[in-house]
Amino acid sequence: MEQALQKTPAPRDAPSLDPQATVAIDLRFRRGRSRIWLLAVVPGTILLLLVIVAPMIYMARYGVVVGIDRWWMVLGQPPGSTILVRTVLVAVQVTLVCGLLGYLYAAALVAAGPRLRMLLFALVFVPFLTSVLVRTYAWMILLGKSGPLSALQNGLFDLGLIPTADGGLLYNRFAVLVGMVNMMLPLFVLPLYSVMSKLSPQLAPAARTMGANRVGAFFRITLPLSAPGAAAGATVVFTLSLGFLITPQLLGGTDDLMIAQYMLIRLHTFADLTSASLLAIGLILLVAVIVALFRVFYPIENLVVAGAGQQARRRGIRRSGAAGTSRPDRGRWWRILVRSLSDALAVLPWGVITKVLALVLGVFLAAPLLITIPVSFTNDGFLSFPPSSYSFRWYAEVLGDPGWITSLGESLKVAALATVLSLVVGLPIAFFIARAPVSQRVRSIVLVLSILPVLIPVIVLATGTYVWFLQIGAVGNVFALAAAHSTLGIPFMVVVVVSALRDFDRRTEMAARTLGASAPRTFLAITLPLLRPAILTGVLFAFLQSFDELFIALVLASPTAPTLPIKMWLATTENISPALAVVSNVFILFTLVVLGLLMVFSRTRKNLKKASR
Amino acid sequence: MTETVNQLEVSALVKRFGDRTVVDDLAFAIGKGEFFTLLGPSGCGKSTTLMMIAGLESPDAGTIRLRGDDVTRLPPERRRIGVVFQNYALFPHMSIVDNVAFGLRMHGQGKRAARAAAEEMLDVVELTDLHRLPAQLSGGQMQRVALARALVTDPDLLLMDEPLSALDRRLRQTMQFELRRLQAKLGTTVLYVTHDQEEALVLSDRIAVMNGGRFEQVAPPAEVYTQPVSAFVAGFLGESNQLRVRLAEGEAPDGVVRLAPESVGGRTLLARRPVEAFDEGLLVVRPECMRIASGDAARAAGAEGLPATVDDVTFLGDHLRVGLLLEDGTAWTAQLPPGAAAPTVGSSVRVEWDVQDAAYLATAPQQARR
Ligand SMILES: Nc1ncnc2c1ncn2[C@@H]1O[C@H](COP(=O)(O)OP(=O)(O)O)[C@@H](O)[C@H]1O
Ligand SMILES: [Mg+2]
Repeated sequence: MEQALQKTPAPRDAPSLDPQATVAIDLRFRRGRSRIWLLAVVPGTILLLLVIVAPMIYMARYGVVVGIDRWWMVLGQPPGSTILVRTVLVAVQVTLVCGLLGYLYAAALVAAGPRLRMLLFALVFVPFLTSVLVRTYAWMILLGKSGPLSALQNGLFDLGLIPTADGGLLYNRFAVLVGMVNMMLPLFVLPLYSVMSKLSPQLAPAARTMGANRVGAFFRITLPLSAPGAAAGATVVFTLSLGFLITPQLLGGTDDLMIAQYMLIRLHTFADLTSASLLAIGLILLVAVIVALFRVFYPIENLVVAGAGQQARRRGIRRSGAAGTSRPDRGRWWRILVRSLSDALAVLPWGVITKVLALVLGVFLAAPLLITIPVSFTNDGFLSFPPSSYSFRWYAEVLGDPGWITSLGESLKVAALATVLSLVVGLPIAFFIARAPVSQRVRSIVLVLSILPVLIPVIVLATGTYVWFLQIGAVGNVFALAAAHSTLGIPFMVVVVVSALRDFDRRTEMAARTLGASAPRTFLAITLPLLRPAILTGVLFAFLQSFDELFIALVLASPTAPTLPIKMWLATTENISPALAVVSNVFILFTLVVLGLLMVFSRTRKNLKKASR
Repeated sequence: MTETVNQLEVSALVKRFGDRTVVDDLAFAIGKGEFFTLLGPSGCGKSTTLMMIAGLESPDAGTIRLRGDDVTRLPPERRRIGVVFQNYALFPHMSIVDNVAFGLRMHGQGKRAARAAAEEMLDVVELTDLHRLPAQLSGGQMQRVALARALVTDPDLLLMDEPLSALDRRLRQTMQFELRRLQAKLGTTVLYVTHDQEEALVLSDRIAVMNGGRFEQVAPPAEVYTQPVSAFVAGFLGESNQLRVRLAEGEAPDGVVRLAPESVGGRTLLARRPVEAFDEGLLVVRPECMRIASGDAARAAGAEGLPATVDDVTFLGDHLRVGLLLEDGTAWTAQLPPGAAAPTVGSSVRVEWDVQDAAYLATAPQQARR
């Protein structure tokens, strides 16, 4: 019944035919149908080949044509090797801290009442949607010499966390870690929460009726069952950290580079395509190894598609074994020690503690979004906090500067093109994944291929597209840039629409057919309207992806038509004037508008779902 | 169209999923205005049959004729049928009236005319407040909308797939009678699918009892109930007492066979003669055809009986239910009128029935009988 509609042919006219002829028609028809499904993945394949595969191959070519000495020179000895080791180290640190804080935050989200949960969720979701560049710029204010946190500098210096006591908190490893954790925490919390919120709230209490205390119940029940979410979160955080560029570049010291910064220098400053390519290959191999390792725990593509929760649960249960039964203590000294330690810990008011800590973390997450508001209204000619007086001076300045306005226009143009492309390419792919008469294996391959671009570090994409587009003469072409950006929007489009299609009740389509609607008409009158909220959600995500993207734009955009992120990035590296706070607020405003629309769509989606239950 | 043309005619219909044959060589015909029900356990292929007739699933072999025309290869939108789906499948983004008007619009009617006709049909199914969305309706109301939507285009055939299964028992009974009333009023031909025997008995002109993709018996409700042709049919409709038997030596009156129970030695029992003869099968007697006599009472004329022990006695308001154990441990039940004297638990009795109420049925499914 599942496949009834796609099996339904276009009108077959001759009602009575001899069996032979009927078979022939069926075969012909079947072939025609698979051709239509092939058509659905053609645009995506072309895009993938042009914007991802060809650049990667072209880049890989550098790795093959140069000798092993060149590889050794770039990756095997300083500064390459030290930078590589440092990058991995920083990524490990960020992942560990995010893991610790993320569990706390997710636990608080699950335990909170509806209103606190909404607040905590907003505090993690709004930053998640907001441009990394904007948030990093905000940290430059927060940690800067005249920033609100500069009072902490003596204390932090005494603790040995920052190298000097008079330069503010910026341009050191500490600032990088604070900034990166701030950027990454939502990416850990969201998948973890999505798994944890699906666990039955009765599980931990059940364990406690069997003799486990609170602490034991957490470690034996909640932790193992939510491990898949944590694994997915950790994969994302770790791989993104490896390729992170904006935050270390703006907050870190010049002698403390990470690999992506080094790549940008080789690529952009020295036009050393070979070294940049070798570094990119190294980075992507590193990421591939990490993803493969984490996949042992949990295939992350499962998390983005409906039905993952169930599987997560099943796996978790297998892993945790007989988690609910607390074994009698056999008097081994360490068991007694652990037991009494956990009994002692269990006395603490964990509910209150997690909630308070989560709120503190929430403030930490929201701080970069809030600081730019007062700063943008400063009347001072330079960045200071708190401003000595307020005015619209910087708004006037930004709005009066044709440079900013053209950039905004350029950004909107690129983002609009990229969004249209994401829609045109992503929608058929989503239908293919959800409905094509192909095996499960083919479905997952198509899914993985279409979300591949978000797994590749952006700086690698930037390097690849740059060397390749330079070759084919597409650098500076707005369509080429939009095509590259669309590969970042397509994953969102595909994931949202596929999950809507999984929930879709195909009997509504069947009903329409029996009521006299042809297949195309059913699609227009029933399928599309019911998918509209999901499609619009995908559109918004795709738009934001392009609107916020910096590095691909940096290498591909024509120098005469920089996008808003490019202009802001260039301005940040020159001086951090309050004008940037104004621009930041434009980004944040966009994010909030998008968020509002998302909420409206998710409400309609829920209503539609309820109705077709 | 002449009078003799059937509204629906299905012949040699086959559907396979992989190497499983889900619908196995089905053939049946439904006359104009008839209420025909496919009754069978879940998974026996009822929905698949219905979907093929609707054109939403393509058969592997066989033909489907609607009013004499071969529609086997026709897409669903050109078959002039109405379908009521199990979960109603209302369009969640359209108001009630737009849901009902949809089919008319697809058949080329103007917006206003379609709406007017839709409102009229919604009036027939007694629905008001037509601009609500489906999400705002109760189960019974959704059911009515689905019915109105399927009927408004005046289809040649109305297909219904377990339309009442999502409703609670009370509402289901109300809807059954309403469905019957509506069908009689509009003269619609209905092919109905259910796994609920009571529903099938109440609604149908004829019932096809389905098992494993085949029909076991096609007959009016009373006949299916009183003269089941197979143990499956007897077991599926109502309760029945069964005993393994084989054909015995010795002469028997006309229309009757002599049977030897396999595990209750030393006696033979008479039962109605089946259409085709076979060597072993089941003796089947309905609980309400049973009487209970004291262990040493003489056998009544034309009656058969076996010794049994009373296991339990339950009063159920409109009848008395007596659990019995035969000599070989087989559990039977007898259903006595409410005023009957209750036998003592543990006492030895004789359970009796008329030969005409005892059927001799094959265990393996027999070929369907028209
Ligand atoms: N699209 C399908 N693919 C494979 N098997 C199916 C499909 N649809 C139904 N079946 C199988 O065919 C059998 C009959 O299904 P169905 O006609 O829905 O039964 P019923 O409606 O009598 O409960 C079931 O065992 C079911 O699992
Ligand atoms: Mg069914």
